[in-house]
Amino acid sequence: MTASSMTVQVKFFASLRETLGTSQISLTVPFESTVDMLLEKIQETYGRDNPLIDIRNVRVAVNQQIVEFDEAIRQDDEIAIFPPITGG
Amino acid sequence: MHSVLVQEKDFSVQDEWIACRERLEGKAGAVVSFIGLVRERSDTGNVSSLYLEHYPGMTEASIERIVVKAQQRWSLLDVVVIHRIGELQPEDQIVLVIVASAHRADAFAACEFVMDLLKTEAVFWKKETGDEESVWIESTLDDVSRSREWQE
Repeated sequence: MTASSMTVQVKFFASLRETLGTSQISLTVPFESTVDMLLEKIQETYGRDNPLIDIRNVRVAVNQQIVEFDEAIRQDDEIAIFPPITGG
Repeated sequence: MHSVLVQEKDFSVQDEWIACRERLEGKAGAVVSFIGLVRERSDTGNVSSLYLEHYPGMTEASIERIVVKAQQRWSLLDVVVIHRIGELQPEDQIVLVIVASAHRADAFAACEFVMDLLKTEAVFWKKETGDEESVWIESTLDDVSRSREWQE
């Protein structure tokens, strides 16, 4: 990790967790990254042509609050990416 | 007064009711409870099991928000929500909602409201296993419209 980058933990849930085969990954992204940039990085990592990783159809929570994709992320944020919730 | 629990283990309606009744100390005139069960058939066919996934912390907070909305809307003495997660089979209890109030109208309406919002706003993902395959399911249009009706 260089001074201009940071490492974030990203959790996945439900179908996304199954598709990616992991419930949590650690990613290194540039400082002052946004959620959008993080999603881009995940697509690069897991393959853009995977139809189940439809980035426009996921929800993102930062520190357990649903956020828009232009939200900035910071070191140590708890980031979670998941499909739309089904409810109880 | 309220409590929200998300747990794998089954709940005893009787135990929860006894505990609720003790907390009410004679103030309530009405208690409405709802028990949700896993059905053996869904819209797509037979169900052999249902798996509920949650996001620890965020799921509980999403249910708390629903309960607080109900408390702001009606005059309630106690609200209990217990929601199960993990692998469930048909006939299993999946959710318990108990609402107590001084008069029955508040308890009836609030119990239905909490249940309707749980179906759309609570942070859960459900996977249904049928005869052949497992499918992650989505909120039904009926669930969404019932939840919206409360906003009008």
